Parts: sequence; C-alpha cells; structure tokens
Amino acid sequence: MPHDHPHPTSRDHSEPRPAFDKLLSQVLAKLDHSGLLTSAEVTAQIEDMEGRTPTEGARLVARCWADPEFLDLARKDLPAAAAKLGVSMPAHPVFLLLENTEELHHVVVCTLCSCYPRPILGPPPVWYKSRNYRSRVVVEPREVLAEFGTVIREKANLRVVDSTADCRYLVLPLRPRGTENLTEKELADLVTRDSMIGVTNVSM
Amino acid sequence: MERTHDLGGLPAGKIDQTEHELTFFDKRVDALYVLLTSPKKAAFTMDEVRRTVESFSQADYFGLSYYERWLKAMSLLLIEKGQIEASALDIPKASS
Repeated sequence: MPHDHPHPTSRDHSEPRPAFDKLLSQVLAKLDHSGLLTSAEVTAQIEDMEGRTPTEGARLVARCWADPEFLDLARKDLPAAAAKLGVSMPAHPVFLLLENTEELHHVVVCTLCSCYPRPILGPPPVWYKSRNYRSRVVVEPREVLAEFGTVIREKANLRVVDSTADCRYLVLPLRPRGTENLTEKELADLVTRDSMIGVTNVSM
Repeated sequence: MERTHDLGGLPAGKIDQTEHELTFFDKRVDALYVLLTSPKKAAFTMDEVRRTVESFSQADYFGLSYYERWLKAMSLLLIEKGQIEASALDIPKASS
C-alpha cells in the first residue's frame, strides 16, 4: 500500500543524485546540439522563474483589499488584474480567485500532483507537493490547518479546492481588522505565501 | 492499473513543513519542463508528462525526488518522440 512507505518525500530535501545530474547533462547537451533548446533559453527561463515569488501574489491581494474596482476585475479575470500590476500570466491554464470571508475559508491542494499558480506565487513549497498534504487535506482539513497553526472557527465553512492542470487558484485571504490606515505596500507586506494557499490567515 | 499518484483521502502522517530552496538541478529541470511544454517548442504536452509520471512504479514515484521524477519522465518522452536516441541517455532505474 502506498502509505506503508516511511519517508516518501525525503529526497526533496537533498541534493540530486549523480546519476540524475548526469542524465540532465546528457539531455541538455542533446537538445542544444539538435537546436530544440539552447542553453541560453534555459538560463533565461530560470531567470524568469526566479523573478516570480509570492511578492507578486501579495501585491495582487493588497490591491484587491484596497481597490473595489480592481477586486471586481480580479474576480472576473485574474490574469488581466495581474497584468495591471505588471505581472504576465499565460493564456492557459485558467486562474481563479477564491475569496475568503468570515463564513467561508478556502484551502487549495493538488491531490494528483503539484498544480499551483506559479506565475504569481513562484514554485510551490515542498510540503504542498508532499504525499501527506495531498492525502490528508481533503479529508481532515481542520487538522491539517491546525498543524499550520490555523484555527477556523467551528461555524465557518471550510472549502478544500483541488487544483488541476487546467485550473489554478489564488486564495484572497480575509483582510485583518485594524488595517484600515495601512498603505497598499504595508498591506502587501502582511500577506504570506501560505495565506494565499489558504493554510494560514493574514494577521497584523 | 496502478494509481500511485491518486493520493487524496489516503491515510498519511504529519506534514513536513521544512522549506527547501530549489537546487540548480531543480531549476534546470523546471526550466526544461516549462520550455519543452511551451507552445513554441511543443516537444510534448503537460498531460504526456503527467501520464508518464503517473505510470511509474511505486518505487520510482515515491523513491525519486520531485524533479528527478520529472526529469526521468521527460527523458522517456524525448525518446518516445524520437527527439533523442535511447542509447544516448543513461536513465537510472528505480531507486533502491
């Protein structure tokens, strides 16, 4: 049975093994030689990826909190809203905003693999890709959130949303009380990656 | 058919929240994936990569790191598509 394996994701915390490093070199050399993919393209892509961090998502969230018209746009067309902040998103997959309220909290998972709104959050954390998170959050979300130090009040609904290759989600966390006088930049500084996945809330 | 990847709802343990910076290896495999599945290159599709990863044995699915899995899947697809000859690559067997 799959759950009999003791440390399924431990390798994600270590350096790759030499055999895989060798395979990567072989693949890159072959593709460079055939012209399908140059090393310059690989370098440029790595730079693009390194420029995408949860900071982009946090700016989006802060603008949604500060500007009702922007929020409306983000609800209808998240990539168009991101474009207004200078963040490019591909035409596919679909990106949707999940709004947390006092009555409804969202948490996102990809049970089958690791689908994630990478253009606005960067690559997913290792735990998001782990077997334990993927297995458990759909059946015991309150217990999983408690591991992240998050308690959702009993009366609030907790909705677990499963991402797919074709549809990714950004959680719009609840704006904390007492932030009325903060600037948009100060608001963005409060927003964490985990709050945009839904495993935590934003706090002052 | 094995459905190793279909993990939702299975019993599992505590979540390891240790953060892990992507290694240079991870970043290059990631770049390879994004570029080769892009409309411009279209060497294979995201769904083909998933199909390949999802057909791995349990030993590979759980024994390899995330990016080792993706690299192995993409290598197999490049051979399948005739982009690279099988003899040119040393694809590691399932980890012990």
